[in-house]
Amino acid sequence: MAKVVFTANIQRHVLCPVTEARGQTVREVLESIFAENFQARSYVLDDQSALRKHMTIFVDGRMIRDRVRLGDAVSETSTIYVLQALSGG
Amino acid sequence: MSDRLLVSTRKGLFTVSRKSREWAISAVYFLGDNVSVTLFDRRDGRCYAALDHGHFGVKAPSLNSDRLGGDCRPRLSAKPDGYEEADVLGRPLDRSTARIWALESGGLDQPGVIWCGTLPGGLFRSTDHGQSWEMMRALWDHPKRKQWSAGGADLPGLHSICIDPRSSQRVWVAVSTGGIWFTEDGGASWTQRGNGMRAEYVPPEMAHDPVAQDVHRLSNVRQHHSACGYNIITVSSSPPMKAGHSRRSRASNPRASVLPLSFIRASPTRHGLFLRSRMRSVPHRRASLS
Repeated sequence: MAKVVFTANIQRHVLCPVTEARGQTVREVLESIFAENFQARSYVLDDQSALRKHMTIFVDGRMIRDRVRLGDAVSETSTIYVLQALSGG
Repeated sequence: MSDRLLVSTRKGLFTVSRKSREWAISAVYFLGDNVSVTLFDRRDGRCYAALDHGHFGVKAPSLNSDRLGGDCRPRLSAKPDGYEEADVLGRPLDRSTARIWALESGGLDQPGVIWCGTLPGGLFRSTDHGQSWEMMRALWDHPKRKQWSAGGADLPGLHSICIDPRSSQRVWVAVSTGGIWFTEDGGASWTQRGNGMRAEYVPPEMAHDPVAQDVHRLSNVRQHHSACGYNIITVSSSPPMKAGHSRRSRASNPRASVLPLSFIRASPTRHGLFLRSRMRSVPHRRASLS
């Protein structure tokens, strides 16, 4: 199962512990987690279920490219980081 | 006079209370968080705060709810697959609630009903004290909604919601920039209001177009000594102005009315509410709300 690590800054709003979840894409993995932790969903995804504008996700050290469908591939041994994006100068 | 103020700031929600002759902060909620607007519901004493968490989006929790921190957000409806929309400046419109800009209690006959206005212009209604929100699709899907433009922010902002105290199904809302809108069926259908207003900053042929008006504030003003009980007042950028408003004119017009005014300072007197302008008065024109 993929390992998912959420930014420490989200923890003051909603508890998101390090979690392992199944899925072949980022979408499948995250939806698996949000099915158990529904409150966390809106902190990461926007009204259209896309990744929030100022959030970013890394899979095994690479930033995902599909921010709308979250279709980037995930393996059984992947580590996923859900973080705030660095915006501005 | 109230002994308690709720002050929304970018650094939290502060309750300021009066003790003898002094005011002091008596409670702090959401310290460090951006609170864009707060509503104290006089009907049941509940308090609602709109939060903008930046990276993590906007939320509208009730301070009295055990679901604080949950998914209590007004959420724009899912767009059709492949559908993309641009704003009036041609920029892609991010169909997601960017800020909560208005919270308003429903009528006295509607316990638990809360209205919510947002950027980019979505209007929402909750019937369960903000636990869940229904988007007012009829307003969002109105063809003229796509003519709404950004006012002081990057997106159109629905900032004012006025419930008719005589009929909770009658609601006026105002948008910067998109003028005044009205429903008399609780939100099932909407029509533009505000004929008679004038925007000086657009081409002359558009100056009287109701959808081009940059209304800054639409508010119920309750009158203790008036036959009609209240008026609805607008404040906008550059409509015609009037220096004063007599009790007689209100009493002679028991229907809700709107006075287009600019840079207004409202002063209650024994004769009623007077509205003053720091700018030179020009001939008054009454705009139409009904």
